[in-house]
Amino acid sequence: MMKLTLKTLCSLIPLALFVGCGGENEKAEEPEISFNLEEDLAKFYADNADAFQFKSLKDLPDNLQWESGADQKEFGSPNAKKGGTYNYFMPDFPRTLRLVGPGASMGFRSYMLDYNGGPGGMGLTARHPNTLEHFPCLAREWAIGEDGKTVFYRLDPEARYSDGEPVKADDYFFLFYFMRSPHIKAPWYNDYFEKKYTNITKYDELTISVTYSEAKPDILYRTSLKPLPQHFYKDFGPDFEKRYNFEFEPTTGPYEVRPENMDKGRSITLTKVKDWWLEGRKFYRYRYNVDKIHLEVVREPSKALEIFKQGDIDIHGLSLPDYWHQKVPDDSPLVQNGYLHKITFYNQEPGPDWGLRLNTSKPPLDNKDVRIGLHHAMDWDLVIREVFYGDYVRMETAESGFGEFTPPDLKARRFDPTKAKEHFAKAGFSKMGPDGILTNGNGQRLSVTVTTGYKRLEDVLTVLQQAARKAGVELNLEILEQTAAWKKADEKKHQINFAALNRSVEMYPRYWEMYHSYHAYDENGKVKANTNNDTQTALPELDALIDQYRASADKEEMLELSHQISAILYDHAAFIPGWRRPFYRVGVWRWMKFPEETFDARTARDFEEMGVYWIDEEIKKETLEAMKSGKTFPPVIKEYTTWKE
Amino acid sequence: MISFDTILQHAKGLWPVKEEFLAWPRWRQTAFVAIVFLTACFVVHEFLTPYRWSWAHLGRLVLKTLFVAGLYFVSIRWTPNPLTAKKLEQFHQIKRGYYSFLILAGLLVITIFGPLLISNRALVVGYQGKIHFPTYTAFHPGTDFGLDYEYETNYRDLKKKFKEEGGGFVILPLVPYSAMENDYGNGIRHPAPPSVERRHFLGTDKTGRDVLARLFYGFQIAMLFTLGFLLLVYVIGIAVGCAMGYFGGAIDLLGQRLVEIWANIPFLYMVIISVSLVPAGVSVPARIGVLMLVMVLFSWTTMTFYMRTATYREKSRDYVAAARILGASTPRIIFGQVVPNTIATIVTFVPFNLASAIITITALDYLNFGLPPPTPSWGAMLSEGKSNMQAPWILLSPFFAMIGTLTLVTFVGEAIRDAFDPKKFTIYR
Repeated sequence: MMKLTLKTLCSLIPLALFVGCGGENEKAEEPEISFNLEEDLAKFYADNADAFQFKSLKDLPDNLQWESGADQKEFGSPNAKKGGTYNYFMPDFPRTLRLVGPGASMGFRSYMLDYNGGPGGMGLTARHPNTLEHFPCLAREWAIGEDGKTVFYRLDPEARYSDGEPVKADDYFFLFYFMRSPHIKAPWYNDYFEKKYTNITKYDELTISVTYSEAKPDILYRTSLKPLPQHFYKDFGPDFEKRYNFEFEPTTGPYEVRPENMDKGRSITLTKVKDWWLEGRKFYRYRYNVDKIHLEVVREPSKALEIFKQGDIDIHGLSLPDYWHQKVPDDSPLVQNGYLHKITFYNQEPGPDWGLRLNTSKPPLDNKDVRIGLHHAMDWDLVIREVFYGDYVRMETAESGFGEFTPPDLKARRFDPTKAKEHFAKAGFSKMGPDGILTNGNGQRLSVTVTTGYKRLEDVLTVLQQAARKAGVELNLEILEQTAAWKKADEKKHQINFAALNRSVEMYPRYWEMYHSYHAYDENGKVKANTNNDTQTALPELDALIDQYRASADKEEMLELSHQISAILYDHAAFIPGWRRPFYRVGVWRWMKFPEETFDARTARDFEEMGVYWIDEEIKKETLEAMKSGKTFPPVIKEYTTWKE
Repeated sequence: MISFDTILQHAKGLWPVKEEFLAWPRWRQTAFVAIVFLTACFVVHEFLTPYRWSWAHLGRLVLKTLFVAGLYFVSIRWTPNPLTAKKLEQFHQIKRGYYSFLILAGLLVITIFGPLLISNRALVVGYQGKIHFPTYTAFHPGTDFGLDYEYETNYRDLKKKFKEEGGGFVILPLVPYSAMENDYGNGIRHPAPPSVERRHFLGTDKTGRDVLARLFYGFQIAMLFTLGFLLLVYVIGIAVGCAMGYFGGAIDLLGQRLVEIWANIPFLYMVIISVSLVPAGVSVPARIGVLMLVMVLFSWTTMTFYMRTATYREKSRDYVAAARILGASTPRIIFGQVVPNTIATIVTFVPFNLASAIITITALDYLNFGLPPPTPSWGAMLSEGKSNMQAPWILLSPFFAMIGTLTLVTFVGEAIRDAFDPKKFTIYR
C-alpha cells in the first residue's frame, strides 16, 4: 500500500506542475479585456459632467470664511517618546489588502485605514476626538459654502503618499470614479458615492470643493474624503478584485505595509512612512510614535493572553469581565509586582450594538408576535449579572449612546416568560410539548437558530438558551468561524444573527443602511445580499421616514424624525438589544505608555485608534531585567474617569 | 406453516429451564440476570414515558430492542467454537483486562440510568397526597406543585420550600443538576470550586453548569457515539474486506486501489469541511448523526486491509471448500463460515479502534467541529478548561476521566490481544 501511495504521489506531482503551468499559460493567452481605464474615465467624467467640474480660482465665491481649526487643543502627550516596536496580534490573517470589495471589511483594514492617521483615517480634515471640531489633515484650510452642502478645501501642498507621490486634486475625482465602479464589487460604496455626493469641482491643482447631496449639521465630517492614488490604480479594471488583492494602496497616513514585511498567514509588520509629511505638525507630533507595528496571527484568544502575559504582546484588552476579574486578577503577581498595569478608561461613544438581529424574512420570525415574544424570552439581565459580573449595562434601544438621539421613554422589553407566552400564543404557539417547548397547531415546535461568529461569547448564548426554555422557546446555537458567520449573515441565510456592528462616533444614528427596504429586497422582491439590513426590515412607512431623515439638514427635525423611527423600530421588534459597555479596559505592560492625565481621547473606542501610545524601550529593558532579578514596582490599577458620564 | 405452538416452543426455548441455568458458567448466569434486569428497566421506562409518536422515539425503541437481543444472543445463545471458547477463557484469566472490561461495561450500564443519579429532576415528589416520578415523564410546570411559574419546576428550590413550609417531600438524585442548567441566582461567582455542600462535587464551569454532570453525560454521549461509529465502520469494513478477499482477482485489485485512494483523503479535514456544511436548522441529534456518518465514511477503510488478508487465508482452508461443495451460497459462506473464523482479527482491533474513536471525537469537539454546543462533551470541556486555567477543576476533570477511560480500554485491548494470540495455540513445524 505504501508503495502505491508513493507511486500515486509521484505521478501526482508532475501533474500538479502541469496544471500550474496550464494556469499560467491560460492567463497569458486570455484575450485582452476590452477595458481601457483612460477611456472609461474620460467617458465617466463626460457622462457625469454636472458632478465633475473644472473651474478656475476666480470662480471661488468671494465671501468664503476660511478656517483651519488651529486653535484646538492638542491631544496626545508631549512626553511621548518616538521609536520602538509595538507588538500586538490579530485573530486571522487578512484575506486581502484591498480597502474595498469582497473580503475587505476585516479587522486588519483598520490598521491601513481607520487607525492610520486622522482619527478615523486620512481625510481632508480630521475630527478632534474630544470636541468633535475639525482640524487640518490633507486640507490646510476649508470653508463651508452658503448652501450648507458645499465645502471648499485647500489641499496641503506637502501632502504625499507613502510612495513619495504628491496628493493631487485629480485623486479626489478618481475616488468617485473608483467608488462608483462596478468592478470594486462593493454595492454599498457604489450607492453611497453616487447618491450622497452631487458635485466635486477642481479650481486648481490644490483647491477643490465637494458638494454633499443635502445640507447636514455635520457637513465637514461628511465631506472629509480620502484621496485615492490614481497613479497606483493605473491597471484598474474588471479584474480589480484579483489584481489588487495583496497590493497595498499607498497611504497618506503614518504607517505602510511593505511586501517584504508580510509573512503570509503568520504576521504583518507596518512600518512608519519615511519622513512622513505630517511629522512634527500640530495635532500629529505627539501621536503615531512607534516605528513599527508588528502584528502576529494568533488564532486562539487564550493563547494570545498567555503570549501577552509573557510580554511578547504589549497590551491586551481586558474589557471582558472574566479577563478582568479572573484571568488577570488584581492579585496576580504580574500586576502586584507592577509589571502589568490594569487600566479602566471611561469613554463616551455609541459602541458596538450587541444584540440579536431577527431575520424577518424567515419564518417563524416573520410573525411580529413571535419576535416580541422572543424579546421577552431573552434574559439579558441574567447574562449581564452572571456572565458579565454586573460590569456592563443593558442597551435599551439601538440608538443608545447617541446623546439626545437616544429615545428617552423607550426601554428594552425585559425578560418575562408570561408575557412571552402570551405573544407566542397570539402567533399560534400555544400548546406546550412534553419537553417544555411550545408548538403550534401544525405540530411545529417553536425552535429558532442563533448564528454567531463570536466563539468567545458562547456563554452569553448558552445562558440565554437555558433561560429561554422557561418561555417555551428552543434556541439552537450555531457557532461558526467568524468569516463564515459574517458570510452567512451577508447572504441573509441566518434566522437570528448574534453580532454587533461597530458604530462610528457620530452626531446622530444611521437608519438607512440597517432598516431601509432598499437594503432588504431588490426590484424583483428577491432578498438582497451583502447589505447591513440583516433584519430584512422593509416597511413602507419606515422607508418614508428614513428618506426624510436622510434628507434633513435641521437637527431638531432630525431629532423628531429619529424618535418616530425609533418608535416604529421598537414596535417592529426585529432587534433585541443586548448590552453596552461604558468603558474600555486594558492590561498593559509598564513600558507601553499613554498620555498621563487622560489616558486616551473622549471618543476613543480602543487603545489603538488615536495612536497616542508610545513604547519606552528603556523601561522595557529595565522591566525585563527587573523580572529576572525579582525587583518589583508599585502596582498600578487605575481608573481614568475624565470622560465618565 | 408456522403454528402458534412452534412459536411458543421457540419462545420457551429462550428462557432457560432450571437445570440448564445451573449448568451454565458463572459469567453466563450473571449476564442472564443482568439482561433480564435491563429489559425490565426498559419496559418500565417505556410505561413511564408519556406516549408521543416520533421517528426518534421509534428509533430509540428499535435500538434498545436490538441492544438487548444482541446481548442475549451473544452471551447466552451463542456457543463459540472450542478454539474461541478457549480464547475467551484465556481472556477471563487475564485479570487486569477482565476487570477493566467489567468496570467499563458497568460504567456503560450506569450511564443508561444516568437520570436517576445525575439530573435536575427529582426522583420522587410527594405533593397533595400524590406521588410523582418526574425523572422520565413529561416536564412538570411549577404550577403542578403550587409554585407561581409555568416553566419547568426547580426541584432544588421546591425541596427547600417543602423543608421550610411543609406540604410535601422531594427526593433528589445524588447530583441534582442537569448538564445544561446554569446554577445561577445564589450569589456565587462561577466557575466555583468543588463543594460537597452544594453537591457540585467537581465544581462548576464558567456559566455555572455542574462539571460532574457534564463529565458524566459527556461520557455517555461519547461512548454511545463511539459504539455506533465502530459498529458501522466494522459492518462496512468487514463486508468490503471480505468481498475483496473472497472474490479476489479483478475485484480485489480494483477494490484495493479504490480503497487506497479513498484512504488518502485527509480524514480530519474532510470531517471538518463536511460538518460545517450541515445547515443550522438541523436538530442537534441529527447533527450528531451526520457527524457520525461522515466520520464513518472516512474511516471504514483501515479494517478492509486486515479483513482482506484474513479472508484470503480462510478461503483456502478445506472447510470453505467443503461448504462450497455442499452448495452453500456465497453470502452464507462469507458470513456463516469465514467471518466467524476471522473473529480473532476483528476482536483484537475493537478496543484500539474504540480508543482512537474517543480521541477523535474529543479532538473534534476541542476544535469546535464536533458535537454542537451546548452538548456536554469532553473536548469542549478541555477547551474551556484550557482557556480558564484559573479554575483548574474544569480542565482536570475531563483530563483524568479521559486518561482513566483510555487506560481501561487499553487494558482490555491488551488482554484481548494476548488471549487471541494464535501463537499460543499453534505449533508450526
